[in-house]
Amino acid sequence: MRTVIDNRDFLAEDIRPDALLAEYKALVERDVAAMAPQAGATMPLCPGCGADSATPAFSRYGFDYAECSACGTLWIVRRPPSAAIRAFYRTSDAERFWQTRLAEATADARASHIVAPRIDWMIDSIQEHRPDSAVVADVGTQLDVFASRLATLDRFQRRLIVDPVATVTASGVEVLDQPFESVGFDGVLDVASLYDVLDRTADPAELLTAVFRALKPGGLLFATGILASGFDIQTLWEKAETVFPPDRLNVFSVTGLQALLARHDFEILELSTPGAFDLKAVARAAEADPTLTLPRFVRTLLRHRDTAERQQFQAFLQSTLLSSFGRVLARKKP
Amino acid sequence: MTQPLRCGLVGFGYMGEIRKRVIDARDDLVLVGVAEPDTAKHAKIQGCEVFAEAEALLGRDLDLVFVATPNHVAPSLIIQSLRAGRHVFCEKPPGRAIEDIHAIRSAESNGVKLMFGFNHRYHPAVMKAKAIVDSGRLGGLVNLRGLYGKSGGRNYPASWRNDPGISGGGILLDQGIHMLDLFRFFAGEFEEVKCFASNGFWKTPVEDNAYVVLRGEKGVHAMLHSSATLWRHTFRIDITLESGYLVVEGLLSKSGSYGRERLVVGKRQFEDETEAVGNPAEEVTYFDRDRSWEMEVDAFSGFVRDDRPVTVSNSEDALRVMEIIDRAYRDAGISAQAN
Repeated sequence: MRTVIDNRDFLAEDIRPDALLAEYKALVERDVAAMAPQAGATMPLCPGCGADSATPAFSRYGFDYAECSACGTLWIVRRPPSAAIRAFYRTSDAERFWQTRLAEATADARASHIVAPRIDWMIDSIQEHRPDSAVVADVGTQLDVFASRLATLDRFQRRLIVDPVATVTASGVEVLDQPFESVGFDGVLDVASLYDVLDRTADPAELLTAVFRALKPGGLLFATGILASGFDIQTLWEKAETVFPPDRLNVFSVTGLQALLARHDFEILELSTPGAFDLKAVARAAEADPTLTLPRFVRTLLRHRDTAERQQFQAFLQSTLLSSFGRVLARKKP
Repeated sequence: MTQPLRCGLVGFGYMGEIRKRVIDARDDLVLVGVAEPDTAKHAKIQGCEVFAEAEALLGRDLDLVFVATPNHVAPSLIIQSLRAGRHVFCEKPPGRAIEDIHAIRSAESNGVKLMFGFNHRYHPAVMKAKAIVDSGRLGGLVNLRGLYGKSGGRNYPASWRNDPGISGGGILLDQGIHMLDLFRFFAGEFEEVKCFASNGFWKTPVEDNAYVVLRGEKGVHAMLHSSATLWRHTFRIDITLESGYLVVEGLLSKSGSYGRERLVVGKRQFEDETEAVGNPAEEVTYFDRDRSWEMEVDAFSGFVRDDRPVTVSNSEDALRVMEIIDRAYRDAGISAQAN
């Protein structure tokens, strides 16, 4: 296994402008509240390691998160119904705002700070581990700029996007607008990607089972997500800005993510937490809420250390897998 | 499964121990015996027959021979084994001088496989660097710079590696050969070779430092400093590409003395010299598992089992790198150290 540290520095504001983000989250809170009373499935076992022991963590927008006693994964035990989740991503005001306002306003920044490194990561890793890859499928991408870049990768014979609520307009990719679990692929994919998808999947085990079946032996899986073991989430906990439904039905810890992949017969080739925002997220939260109580050490870090030293601290978080943004490259075992 | 290939291992020093461990872990290879002249080591050799003489081992029914001996005996063992129709895997270097690899190649025949242990090609940071170079996303190669060295130790001057009759050369032939092999791995062939060499610190009969400059056929230049006076063990290769750069630094090893193996990837960020900051953002990958020994034996086993030509670290690769070393030694005024 290997670990990547990324010292590319950019502002959270570039991809999550405060004003737009606040408006978006207000819409999410309103739209998600409408889901809460509906009866959905319950997930009593940890979606990461499968343990049956958990403690209540906190509530967000009417949904209760539990923390796995074994691996530290956070998840919503009483899930919204799958149909309601799909409806949220297809028709909600929040999602419409995301696609038309937020995504558009941040398209350039997302292209350079998120999509370009993601594509580089894929190209390098595929060249290294599976250079003859011919068929790639992205599951659930909601970024048109990513789909556009994927469409240009002519090293692949087939480029697929599978997403029941696909909104991509890029040409050069085949779009299948149905849940991946129902497509029925069996040993046809060289590469599958799940960018920020495991977090918002109602049943990660079912999805990974389908991905495993869809991949050829030795096929590669790329995935990203938010990690509960990350610094800002551990520090801010119920006030962590990235943890809310329905995007984060599951917030795996590093240990939980490893266990999830191992349980589905994936071999991890790389596991990294190349996040750039942990300390900045804590600083933003403290700035927004002067009453927020932070550990003395963190207060000292924010008040009495300069930018370079904070960057070093962020690099330390990355090197010790303690940032809250994670990425994993795994291989289907033969 | 087909019958395991029957292997013999000649030499049970540092490399021989590694090879035995790798062979023992495989289902498709079975170690018939180990030949080691130092009988004090025999007690450590478990699970197979043990011989004091290579001849006794080579008299057994073998498919493969692994040669892990000092340089002066490796060529004759390779040639003898090849002529007996055995496939051979031999540690680097392929003898003491270029004449050895010529003689070895003349003993090669169709169907018999020969591979050399240039395992650095299989180190994870090198493999990832190679994948990035080959992907072309950072453009073509501009140049390479390598630094590979160790400190020597209290008994360094007395090592067989510094006895020209046994080794044939100094630090360049012993350790620098890996870096030269990597230069070829990344950049292809080199037309011109310049070298300074010195034995100024250790006063050994062979060089303790070599400074090699190469010009490649595609205009790529490369520089190597191979040293036995680096008090901090160092492995580092800088690869400059048209749109970025790679740095492989550190080397996963048994002792860990070369530091944590990592690959740095940076992109050229500026075009205007007046605004050049020279400190671009980088991505650093840390590796925690060296499978180079397993992977190269796996490759060799595959060549033999599938009856495919050896395409990695074959005798052509060995010849080309020995040609570079021969030219470097000649340019530095060193020749025929083995004589």
